[in-house]
Amino acid sequence: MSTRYVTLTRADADFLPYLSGTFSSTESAVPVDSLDVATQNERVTFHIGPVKELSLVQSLLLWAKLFRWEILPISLVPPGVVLLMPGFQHPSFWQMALALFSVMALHSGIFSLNDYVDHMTGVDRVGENSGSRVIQDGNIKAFHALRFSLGALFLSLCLSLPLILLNPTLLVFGLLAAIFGAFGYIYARSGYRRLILGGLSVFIVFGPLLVFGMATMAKPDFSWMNQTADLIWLSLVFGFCATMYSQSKQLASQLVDHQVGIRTLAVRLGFDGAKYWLLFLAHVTIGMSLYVWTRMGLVEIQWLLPAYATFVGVRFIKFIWSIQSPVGSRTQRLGREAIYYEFILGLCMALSFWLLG
Amino acid sequence: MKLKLYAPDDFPSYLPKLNALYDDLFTHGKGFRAKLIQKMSFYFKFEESQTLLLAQTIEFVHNASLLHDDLVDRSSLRRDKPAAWLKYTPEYAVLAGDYLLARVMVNLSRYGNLKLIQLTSEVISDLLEGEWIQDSLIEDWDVSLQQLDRVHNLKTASLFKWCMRAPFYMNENNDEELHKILAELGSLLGILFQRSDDLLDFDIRNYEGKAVLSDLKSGYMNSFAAFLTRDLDERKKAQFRKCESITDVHTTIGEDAFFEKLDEFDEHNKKVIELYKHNCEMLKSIITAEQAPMVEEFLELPGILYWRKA
Repeated sequence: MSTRYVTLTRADADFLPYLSGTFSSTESAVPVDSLDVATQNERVTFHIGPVKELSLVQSLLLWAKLFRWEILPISLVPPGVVLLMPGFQHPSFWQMALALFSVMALHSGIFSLNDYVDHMTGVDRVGENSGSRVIQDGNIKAFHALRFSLGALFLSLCLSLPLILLNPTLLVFGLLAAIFGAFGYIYARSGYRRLILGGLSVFIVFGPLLVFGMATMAKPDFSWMNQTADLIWLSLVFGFCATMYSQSKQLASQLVDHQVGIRTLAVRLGFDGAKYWLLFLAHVTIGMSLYVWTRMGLVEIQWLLPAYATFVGVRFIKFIWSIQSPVGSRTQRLGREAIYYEFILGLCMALSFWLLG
Repeated sequence: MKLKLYAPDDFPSYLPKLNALYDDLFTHGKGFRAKLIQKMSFYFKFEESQTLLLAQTIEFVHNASLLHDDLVDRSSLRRDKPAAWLKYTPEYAVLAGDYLLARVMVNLSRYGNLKLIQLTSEVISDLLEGEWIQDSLIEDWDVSLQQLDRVHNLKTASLFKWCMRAPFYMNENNDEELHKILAELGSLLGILFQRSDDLLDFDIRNYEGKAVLSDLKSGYMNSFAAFLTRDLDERKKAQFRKCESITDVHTTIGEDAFFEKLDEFDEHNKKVIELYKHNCEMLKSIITAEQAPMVEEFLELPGILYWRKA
């Protein structure tokens, strides 16, 4: 079967229907990646083909990909650890379930919306590692991804409503998260994560907001005076973990960002500068996590958990040291390694709290 | 008609070693890019001096990059002869490369087309950037095809982009949309040429009998190697790195699996060729009727560059 291509510019009336996938119910239009990155926002060549027929299992796997389970630790680890902190009144099973499912729905809503925005603005066409790639690979149409995203965000809101009614303070954290999220999308053209201040937003949302939000829910009589120091340290650790992830992704897309003219922090710092910045973040995170453990009052064999988490952290530092090329395979793997470290760190902390509790 | 790229008095006669080095360098080159320029010039009705300036520019830049590349990669052979850095010392190879680039700028600035000077400077800068990044990929055994494409777009493709765009600039045709299409065409041609060149390293369509596995032996995963090994487990990848001959490669990958991968790679590149044809059609719709037959010549290029048809 012959291949068909259509090239459209933003000025064409058909541009948005093709980009969002609404132009046809039987065909899909997949934007072709271009190496001439400067042209990709304004002029797009679409590869036209029939809509792929997928089995139920394949469809489920694709939707799971859009869910971004591989980076779920950055959303789920902080609330999970807080829920197991000793001294906190453990909420009922349904409260915990509602809270965690609400966070998971929010996670998939935010990241699939990010995929959609990246697709519509052209960011994903210049960086082949951005997002889940399910839209870019022609497996799911962009407007379906948008519906999925809005559905997930609505589900998250519905799941959190009973918790907010029980404890209205949670609304403050929800509103703050929404403000930081909106701040990012106002600058959607250049992409949320590509802003320098985007890094700060990532830090605040995935660190302090998640930790204190969950603490508020887990302890209805939570006051800023009780256990605040522990929570601050935890929120800093997880905020830095999320920042490490976002900075790792920036470092991996440094060459393309530079060519397109997007001045991310990694682009401004240069390859070595961004690498040292990441090393600094990793050292600080490991140092702070050790401090959190010393505050826990662990005894003897319990120290195996921090020892293992620190071992994985040191391995991550060695991994950062080993990268030497902006397009190298290890540089492209940095994000995954950062997430793995947060997962292990969170797991060990959660187990430590569970043992102490 | 074969174009003579330089006259004896183009380079200082009081530097005989430099002249000898250039004679060695230019004698056995195919001059493919110069021929492409020559063909395009016909449709623009350029004077001979204009054609010569363009052809000379691209060949000088290309050969300067070869002089430098061979030294950086420590390649001992160029066109089946000892590389210039070995025959004339590394210092002379570097100076000779620099001198060619300087000549390019002298010639172009004399002509006075600023767009052409800007384009050429960008190409030189991209070439150097590409070489630098490529060097950082040595011993990276897991590099992806997409990342390699980025490097090749800076190195190989930038010269093709120049060939596509420079005659239009010389013709004072600076339309932005037109140049976007031309740049895209150049990128696609460059990627196709590089991938075909990488296949030679695995003795595929190696009609000229070039040395095989030289990239792999110097620790560099080329595009076909990256494609071939992307689904292999770590043990097989480690074996692959140690391959000394094509027979070793076939044994490691499995002969049937090797040729299946080759078919897959060719299919992948057929899509690139389809995309190239689509861009040719777009180009045809925005250039003059007089220039339109030039596109027919462009359509022949993937056959020559990727499939290595004579």
